[in-house]
Amino acid sequence: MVSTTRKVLAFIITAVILVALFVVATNAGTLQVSPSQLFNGLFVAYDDQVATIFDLRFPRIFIAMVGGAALAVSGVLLQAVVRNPLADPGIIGITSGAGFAAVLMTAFLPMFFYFTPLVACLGGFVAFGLVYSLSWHHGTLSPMRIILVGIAISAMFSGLSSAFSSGTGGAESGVAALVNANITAKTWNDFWTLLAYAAIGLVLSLFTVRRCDMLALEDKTAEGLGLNVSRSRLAISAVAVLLASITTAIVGPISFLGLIVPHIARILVGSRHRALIPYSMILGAVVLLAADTIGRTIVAPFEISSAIIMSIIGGPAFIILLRKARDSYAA
Amino acid sequence: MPHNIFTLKGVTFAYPNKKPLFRRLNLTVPEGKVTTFLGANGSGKSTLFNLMTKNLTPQAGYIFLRGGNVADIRPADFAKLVAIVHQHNIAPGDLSVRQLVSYGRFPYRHGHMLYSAKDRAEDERMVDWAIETCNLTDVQNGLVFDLSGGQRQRVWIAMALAQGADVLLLDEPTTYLDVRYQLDILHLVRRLNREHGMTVVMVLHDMNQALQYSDEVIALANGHIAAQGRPDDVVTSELIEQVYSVNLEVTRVHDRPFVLAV
Repeated sequence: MVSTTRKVLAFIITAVILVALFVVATNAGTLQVSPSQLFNGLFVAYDDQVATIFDLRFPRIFIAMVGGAALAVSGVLLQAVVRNPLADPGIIGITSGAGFAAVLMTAFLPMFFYFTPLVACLGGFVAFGLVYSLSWHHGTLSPMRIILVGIAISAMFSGLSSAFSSGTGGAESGVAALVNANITAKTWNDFWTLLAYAAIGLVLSLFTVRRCDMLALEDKTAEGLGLNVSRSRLAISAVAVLLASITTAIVGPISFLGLIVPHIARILVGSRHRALIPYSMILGAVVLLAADTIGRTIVAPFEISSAIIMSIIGGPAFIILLRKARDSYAA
Repeated sequence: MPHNIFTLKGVTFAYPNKKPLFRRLNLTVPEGKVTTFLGANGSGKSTLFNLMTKNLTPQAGYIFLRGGNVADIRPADFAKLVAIVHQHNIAPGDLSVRQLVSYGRFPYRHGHMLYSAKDRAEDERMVDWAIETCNLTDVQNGLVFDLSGGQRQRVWIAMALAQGADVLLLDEPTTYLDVRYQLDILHLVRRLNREHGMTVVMVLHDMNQALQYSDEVIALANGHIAAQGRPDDVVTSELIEQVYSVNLEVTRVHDRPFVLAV
């Protein structure tokens, strides 16, 4: 059991790190301003440099934070639904399903770009529906099967996306930007779209905390306590798919974040969702903002996308978690 | 006339793509007593248990809890009336005993984000009572993960007690436990019946424990009720042969029938 003091401390320290990281990210890059110049430029008088930072750097910083929170919570919810700490919207194919749907929209119906988030959600649902139904074995969900089927579905949709990307003009197209998950050149409009959908999902996720706790028990036991297990699974998955899909539609497919963040969060604040979900939001924001900031400074003036950074860190982390999975979850 | 807690009328049930296990089964389970289902593997005792817990739904017929059809009782309401401890259970490794027991209050807090100090006090009172009754006071702040099998089983029973129901259903509560913990659980069950007036319905694997600790036994053989009644009245060599297909001698121990299962 994790003590309350430790939980509170984890929340405070992580929030402080997020603020510090925000300040660093604002100043990382060719344009640099002092905090006082930034404050003046934002709130007092117009400043050319600050205006540029405001238009170019701020949107991507905020997008990274909201996207990170959304992906982390999506991971927590999926892990509760399939009762497997290795579930992640990237690994089990939701992001690639959503990504492929977004790619199709961008390639064929670019005039309806406004509906891309909705279509991406639809793609996410199709992918998750496929994984969920194909993993069903002898009346139960087999945890390992979900991962294996998910990897196959994920590979299929990523392949389709890459095929479309190559077939529609290669690196210059808007399609390619989505496929590579680069937060470059995001605008305030992108941020507001992401926020509108993600806020709904994040608020809804807070209403699922008790159900998520109950789902950690044996299904029959949870039903005996009055929980409608199938309906809860469906509702919680819907929130998870919404969060992962909208992030994918705006940022692109990012793997492993939904896996690593909840895992660290469980160690720090325990497995009860009342603390786990809000904490994962903060930590998710920290991790994706860090990945994005590292990605755009480490080889400046070039950029490595946050998805690539996440994969480099996430791959090994996944293997470590896979090896530890057996003793970390069941009692 | 004593009341019945469960009444099954014309219950037919079959697993998908299988022959029906029960055909138009009628059965009553008395209120206020300890009733045990006995039967060989595959006799249908666990299926019957899961029908009564609403985990399975009959294809035909009705199951009544007192006067109400269980199919019409909402899950959260059912959980306030009937507490169930299943045979297999899992819990997250980092939950404390007290936290897990408090999950038993879920049916009362379902769908509420906030609840009053009065509700909270009631939760605390029920959780305290459940922990005390199951002798878990000393370990209540420890992890469920660190407990022995016998203690863990008591935690699941305590969680069920926290539901505040007066009917307790237990599916093979002593399986996987060594004999000391088996007796520990059976004594607890008897105490819940005698001191707290709970109706207990359970499935037991061990015939003699069933005969020793039950007021009423229901013996199942191939989806039929082979016998029902007080252990004294119904348990004979013939019944054992009918239920388990083995010829065993029945003698008496502690003024109860005792099957020499050797």
